[in-house]
Amino acid sequence: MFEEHQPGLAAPLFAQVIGDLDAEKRLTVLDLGNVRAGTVAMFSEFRCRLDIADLPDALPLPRDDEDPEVRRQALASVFMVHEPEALDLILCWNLLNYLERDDISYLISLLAPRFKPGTRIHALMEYASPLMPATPGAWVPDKNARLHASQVDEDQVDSPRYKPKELERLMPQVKPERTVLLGNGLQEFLFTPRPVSEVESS
Amino acid sequence: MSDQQPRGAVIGPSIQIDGTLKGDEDLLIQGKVDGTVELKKNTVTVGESGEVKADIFAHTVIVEGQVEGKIVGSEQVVMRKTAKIRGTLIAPRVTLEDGARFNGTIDMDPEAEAIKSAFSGQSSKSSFSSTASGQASKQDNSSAGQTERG
Repeated sequence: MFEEHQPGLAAPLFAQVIGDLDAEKRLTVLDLGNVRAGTVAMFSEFRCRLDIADLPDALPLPRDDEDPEVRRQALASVFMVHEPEALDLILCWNLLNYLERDDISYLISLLAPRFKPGTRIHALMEYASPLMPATPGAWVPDKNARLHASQVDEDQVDSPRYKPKELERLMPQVKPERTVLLGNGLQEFLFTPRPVSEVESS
Repeated sequence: MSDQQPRGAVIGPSIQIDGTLKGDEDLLIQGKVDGTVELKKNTVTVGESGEVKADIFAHTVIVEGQVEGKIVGSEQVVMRKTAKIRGTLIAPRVTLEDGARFNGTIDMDPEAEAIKSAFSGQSSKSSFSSTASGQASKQDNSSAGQTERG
């Protein structure tokens, strides 16, 4: 799928996640991005159910200042087609910067009912540049768990550059397991669910 | 349009069908179908102008147009780059062309109950019942991966 001269992005936390998967057990993965051949190929190696949210297709979320529910309904609609099976892994590659703060909190509240002990969220976020592509592109894994960018929009907009502490505040249901600054201005996050008692007291 | 010239029946672009379609030949859908399509030993192709709101059960399903519903392929499901699908896709081998739009679930677990029940009682060399053991399942999925990377 990718030529040898395209090394892709080394994402050590993603490589760790893939390495930790058990090929003998059923695996449920939710990709918040759009469907890509590389993602399907990677998880076809496992006994996998792969849910695709295609969140980029719903962006930008509609704005109606008189009825904020319109925005929430648009976000919720991308998950309506999925049966609520507990998730092992959620992929969120360079999407959170395209959501407003309230949207991020609502998104995680939609996902939380499908958490189980051991659920992991792998996220990529741009942190260095004040600008980002105007629309989210796609990230595609190869067989070595390196990530390749595609469909990168040449138009750029201001990036909110959410900081890790702010993400923790917006997503109280999860806590960072590890974060890694990558060389190309991206930050890699691995989140895991907080115990319910911890969430309720926060 | 499909690269493969269909050898079976064709539902033309001006045709709309509500109900259950069953048969023993390949089918190309270029029109509108609401209901259920069951051609469990054959290939169903939803052409670029096809609009299907139905559950599709077939040996092979090729999607170039729009589908809303459950797609079950006992051999494989192919999503062409023009495909737009919302629903659940169940097959041991899934081939995808980048550019396809999909919102839903792709179940590639040969031991999933949904897969076993969809083709229960059908004898086919590639049916899910023949991939019940973990080793056989892994081999099937490996070949799917190779197809994708080809």
